[in-house]
Amino acid sequence: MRGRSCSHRMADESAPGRPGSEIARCTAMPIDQGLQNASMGATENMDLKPGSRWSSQVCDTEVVIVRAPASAVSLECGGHPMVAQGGDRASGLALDPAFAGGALIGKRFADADSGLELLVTKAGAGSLAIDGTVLPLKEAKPLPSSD
Amino acid sequence: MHLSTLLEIAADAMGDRVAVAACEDGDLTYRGLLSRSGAVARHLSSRGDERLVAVDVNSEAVPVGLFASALAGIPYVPVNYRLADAQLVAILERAAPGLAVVEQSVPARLGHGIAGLSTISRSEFLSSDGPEPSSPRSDDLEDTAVLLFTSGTTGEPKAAVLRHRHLTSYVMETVEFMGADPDDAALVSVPPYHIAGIAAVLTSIWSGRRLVYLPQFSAESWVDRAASEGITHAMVVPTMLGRILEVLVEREETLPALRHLSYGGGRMPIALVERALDQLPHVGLVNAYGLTETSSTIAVLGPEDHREAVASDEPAVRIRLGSVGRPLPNLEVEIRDPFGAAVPAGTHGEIWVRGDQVSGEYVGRGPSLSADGWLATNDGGWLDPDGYLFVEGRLDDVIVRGGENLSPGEIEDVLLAHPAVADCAVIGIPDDQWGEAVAAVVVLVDDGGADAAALRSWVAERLRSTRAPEYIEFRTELPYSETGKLLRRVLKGELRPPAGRTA
Repeated sequence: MRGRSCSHRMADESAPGRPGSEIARCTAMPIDQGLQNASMGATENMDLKPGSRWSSQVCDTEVVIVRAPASAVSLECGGHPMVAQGGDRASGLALDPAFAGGALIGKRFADADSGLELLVTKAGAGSLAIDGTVLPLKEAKPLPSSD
Repeated sequence: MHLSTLLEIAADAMGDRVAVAACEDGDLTYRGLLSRSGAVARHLSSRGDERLVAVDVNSEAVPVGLFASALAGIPYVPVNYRLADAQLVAILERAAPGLAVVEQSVPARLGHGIAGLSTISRSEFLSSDGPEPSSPRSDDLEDTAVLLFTSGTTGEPKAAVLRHRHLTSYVMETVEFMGADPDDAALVSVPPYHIAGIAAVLTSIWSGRRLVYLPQFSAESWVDRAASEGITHAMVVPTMLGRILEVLVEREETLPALRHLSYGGGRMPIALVERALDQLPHVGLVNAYGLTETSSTIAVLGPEDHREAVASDEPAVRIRLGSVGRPLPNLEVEIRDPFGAAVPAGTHGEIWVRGDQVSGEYVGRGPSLSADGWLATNDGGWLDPDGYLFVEGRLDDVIVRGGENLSPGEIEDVLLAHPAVADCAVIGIPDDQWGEAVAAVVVLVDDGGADAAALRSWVAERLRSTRAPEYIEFRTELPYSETGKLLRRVLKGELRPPAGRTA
């Protein structure tokens, strides 16, 4: 797992969610928040291989991995690590209001640093993030149908 | 991604939508397609089949067969059932071992059968099931998803290998998941052994479009089906489009629901594109260029490109109607010289392509990609300064006359622009003096009045005299494969230069 400073991502205008809450998180939380999340247990050895499917622990969001990250990252939704689809959800978790921007079905998200790309296959109330940083939407211009 | 994952995700998200319309026993929903494919996959796994071969016309057995193969972790191998018996046997011997879904007439044509290949009828196949397999299914993206025998317009057909990662990369990068409107419907008339037939299944399923199959193409049945099913999207090969436009005129049918008509799989005469634009002004035309070994489309000329080109007075924009548009954003395309060095815009050379959807692999031949992932397409072409790609045809077809390389496509375009010419093919034939001479086989329009001398000077005036055909033969039609490829090899075998000039 890598730790990453919040300022690293604050300039990322394409990130959905609220910049204000990001700043608040930066001042209120240690830089290595992502690392702490990871050490909470559920994300040890998160194998984000292409085609693998993951569910949020705190909302309906489901995603499929399109491109694997080059380095180990913790994939989160609604402020908590995602779990392999069909896997157990921890009890007592609640949606973190700082990560409640929502995920729309069919949308792609990508992290330029790690190369991770995923697709939302079921909509939910949580925002997708890795290591505590909200993932930016990958804008795709639809191509004319050719088949 | 794996083809199985595509269908599972689509079935989770759109379970009640119709995936395949008007099957033998009604519509098949996304959830229904997944459960039917799963049952057939169990049948395949319990038999231990190594491949699923299909020798049949179009039906719901195509998507069921494709996804059942994926779920069973074996390749899907669609074969052209219209091949002559001897050719069919030769291909099936290479496709074996496995199970073959066959059209009624096929078993009788195989004599004593093919070693290692069992046959099953379509209806038995579609209702087959088996016990839950004991071993977990393979989700390896390196597994072969589809084996397609290329049309073999030159020499023996090669079996192109398309792995799960190639096909799903094409789908994910070109189609928005659930991007279709609920009433969108695609009419599939290209056969399953054509890459466009495979791509149509995958892109329709991923976007949430209803698939409607035409068992076999005829312009009349295509128009019937398009009208009755409210078809919004369709793909045709060049030979189909001309006939469809004629039937539409005869019936005064405009197909108001149709929004996207794409064409590809061969060279489309510009005059025909102009006619389609004129006759179907509400339809967005899409020209797609791709190869079997690139998992379908690598460049598209979209509806706006068509409208812009046809409305422009600018010659450089106008000629884009004859281009295949711009490469897909997730791919790289380069034009290279014979030594493999990239050449600037406007220079002719060979089209090279690189990207996740590019396979370039054939059974028994090893990888044909360069070390850094580029595929040489063996197609000649050039890029304009704005990135529009012009395809000039197979490099093997280039005519070498007295040391000069002549592109048949360039000469054909000029001939086709003559008002009396309905269709034509330009090929090289042996010549004592020049090595090769330019020969043209021309089909005139019904009331076309043009003789060889007139056509020769037409070309000489527009290109140069070395490109004017020395031999011109008039015929009533040209030989095409059923997927719309001009069979130059057949013409080369038939054309003989006049006595005394043969090499």
